[in-house]
Amino acid sequence: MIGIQAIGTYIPVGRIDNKQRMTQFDIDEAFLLEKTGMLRLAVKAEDEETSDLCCKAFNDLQRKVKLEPDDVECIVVCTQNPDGHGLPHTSAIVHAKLGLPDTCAAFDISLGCSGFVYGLSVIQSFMEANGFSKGVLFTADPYSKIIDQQDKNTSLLFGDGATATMISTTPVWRSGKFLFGSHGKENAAIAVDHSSGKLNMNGRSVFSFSATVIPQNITAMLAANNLTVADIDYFALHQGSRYIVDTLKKKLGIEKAKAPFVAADYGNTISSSIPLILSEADIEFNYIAIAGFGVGLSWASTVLFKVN
Amino acid sequence: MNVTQEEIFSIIENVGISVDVTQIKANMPFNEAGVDSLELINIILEIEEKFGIKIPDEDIDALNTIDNIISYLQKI
Repeated sequence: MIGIQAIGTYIPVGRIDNKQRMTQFDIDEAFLLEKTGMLRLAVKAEDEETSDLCCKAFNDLQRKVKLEPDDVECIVVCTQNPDGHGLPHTSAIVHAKLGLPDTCAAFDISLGCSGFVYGLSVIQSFMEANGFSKGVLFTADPYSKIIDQQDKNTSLLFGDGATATMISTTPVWRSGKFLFGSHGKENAAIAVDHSSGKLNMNGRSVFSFSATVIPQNITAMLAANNLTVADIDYFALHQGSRYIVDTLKKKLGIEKAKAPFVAADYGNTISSSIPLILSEADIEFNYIAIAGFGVGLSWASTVLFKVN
Repeated sequence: MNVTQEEIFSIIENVGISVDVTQIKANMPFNEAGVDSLELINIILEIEEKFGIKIPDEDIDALNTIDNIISYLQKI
């Protein structure tokens, strides 16, 4: 059996205080608290690269579990904001910085907010197919590289962060059936503008998609795992905004405490949002539903089962 | 499509907004009533679901009061 053994995290210390920007963007505190939910946004240092964020998350992972670089058989980095221009792949740079062995496979996957769930399926399948017992799934997508700080649509939401999830043959959680989906025709809803190099987002389209497609996906995914909302101990939902998490809770009938919003102090960290929740989750939970959705538009969900 | 004010008020109440629904008048623009843009999108989504319709993005900006929503739905 293969699954998640431990999760290391890294949130840069730098912060943007959104309360200081309320006049600039003509919003009030209630909007920050109840709608975006992001009071402060984590921002990496200028000289910190995506690979550095991954390495710092790996260092945190090593504090939580015994893991020597020589033991790592594969790494996968999920990012759409790689080091430099993405060539070479960021996982190769992480491989070098961590001093991983020549026998360690390393590749990137390009996904946004659905990336952790996709990545979990990808790395587990890759490891099982090749008989590996220790691998690490990294998420690091520092949007500070592509945010126009004058754009109200995007500059109040996203924060930098990274995670390193150890996948092994001695897991704490194993995954159930996954359910994936794509609305490629809506790919422009969250996209980097070619001329400015900055992020554009159609907030209305993204919210409509999140509030309609995702509840159906989660319900169908739970049914595929022979579970219902009531069976689930904890929901790790992508932290797009407080309002979308609240809306999903309401539409699915999830008890308030079972689907936390935890991103108020650092922002929407894209593919890192779910593993950041999982890193703090009670390992005694029997069933944890995870659901990522965003850029693409793309979505993915599964259930994590406690391994006894 | 025949739609009443009560039905629209009921949808707004069901969505849950940050202001008291009873304080909203049918001809009052939502932004003046304290209904923000995210809540309005949610109200539109709920209307689409309840009436089994899809409201094009370009029509949404005009649906800025309860009266305007009712007029729009009556024309469908």
